[in-house]
Order: sequence, then C-alpha cells, then structure tokens
Amino acid sequence: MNQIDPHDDVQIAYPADWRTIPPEKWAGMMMTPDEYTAMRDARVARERKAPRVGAPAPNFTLERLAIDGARTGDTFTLSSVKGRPVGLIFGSYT
Amino acid sequence: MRLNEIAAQYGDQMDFYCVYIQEAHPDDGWQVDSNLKDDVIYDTPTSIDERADLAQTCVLRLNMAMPMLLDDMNDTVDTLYNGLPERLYVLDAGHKVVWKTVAGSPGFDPEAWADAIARFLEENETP
Repeated sequence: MNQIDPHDDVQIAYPADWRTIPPEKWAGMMMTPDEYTAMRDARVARERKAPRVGAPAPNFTLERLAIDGARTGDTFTLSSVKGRPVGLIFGSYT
Repeated sequence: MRLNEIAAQYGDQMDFYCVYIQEAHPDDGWQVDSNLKDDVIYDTPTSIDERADLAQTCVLRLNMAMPMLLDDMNDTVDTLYNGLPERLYVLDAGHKVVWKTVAGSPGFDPEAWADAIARFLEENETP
C-alpha cells in the first residue's frame, strides 16, 4: 500500500484511488470509499502546512511526562535543546 | 521495540522525543481490524487527563524509553508537524528538518529513519 501519488504536490502514503489498495488491506481499514477519500483529502491538506525538508522545524512547548508516563506538570520546549540534532516520533496508542 | 533501539544507538549524538498526539484509531472514530484483534479499544479522549491516561498506557505497554511529550487538546504540535497517525522526523542541530517519513501509516518506516539518522550523523560528523 506504499504508493505515493505523483500528482500530489506533497507526498502522502495513501493512494488517491482506493481501488488500488489490495483487498485484504482495504478490508482491515473498515471505511467506505467516500470516507477514505475524505480522510485522504484532509491528510493532503494537513501535509501542505507541515514543514518541508530544509525548512525550520516549528518550535513548541509541551508537558513532559515522567518515565512511567505519569503527568508531571513540567514542560519541555524544543528550542531549549537547540545545538543538538533531534529525532521526533509522533504517535498514539491506537 | 525498534524505536527504543534506534534511540539507544544514537542517543549520545542526538536527542529523541515522542509526542503523544490524538488517537489514530479510536473506537468511536476510524476503528481498524488490527486494533480489534489486539484488544486495543479506546474511545477518543475528551480531556487532557484522559489523553494523558492513554499516553501512560502507551508508555507502559510499549515500554517506550524516550521522553514522552503530551500534545494539547487543540492538537497544536500534531497540526504543526502533520504527525497523525504516526510519523518520524530528523532535525539538525539548528532544528531544520533534514528528513521525515512520508505522511500516513504506510509511510511509517523505522528502518528508513535509522538509515537517515546514520547518514545525517556521518555527513555532519564533528571532527
């Protein structure tokens, strides 16, 4: 399913035509074609606003959780570690 | 957990942070078959406390070793970086983006991330 649509001005990993998705992958996605198209369009719109390679990474301040994942109330600001390369991972449990 | 291994391998040369963002596949949203099979069934958090609870579950169940940062309920940082559903970035020391995965779950590639990090560090090795 790693098809990158060459017609998009940004790259996202969801093909424009849902019918090109293998049937077994499509079954696992549990969505209608219209829902898929709406989801993909929203993702393309979001990607247009994301920093491109070569652009400054947006600064931010977020709460930093404890090593066991508990809330601390302490914050972390990305610019506080300027001078060090950074790897960022975005995700959620589901 | 591969992400932990990569962070441990390069942790002396760069910093690693996880940003916990909005749920990719909540049960009251876009649920997926794989989550049902794995019993990962959670509704969309409606407060920062609920999101924090799920973030803690994530840290503990997946044994995340990197610092976890909690995105706010406006999804501010997720929106800035288009992190949804899962994404990897590499920033240089000046915090310019030098590499990122293709947006979308099929583009999430830890091995490509590791390769990009290795390449970046080699090309920017401090004498």
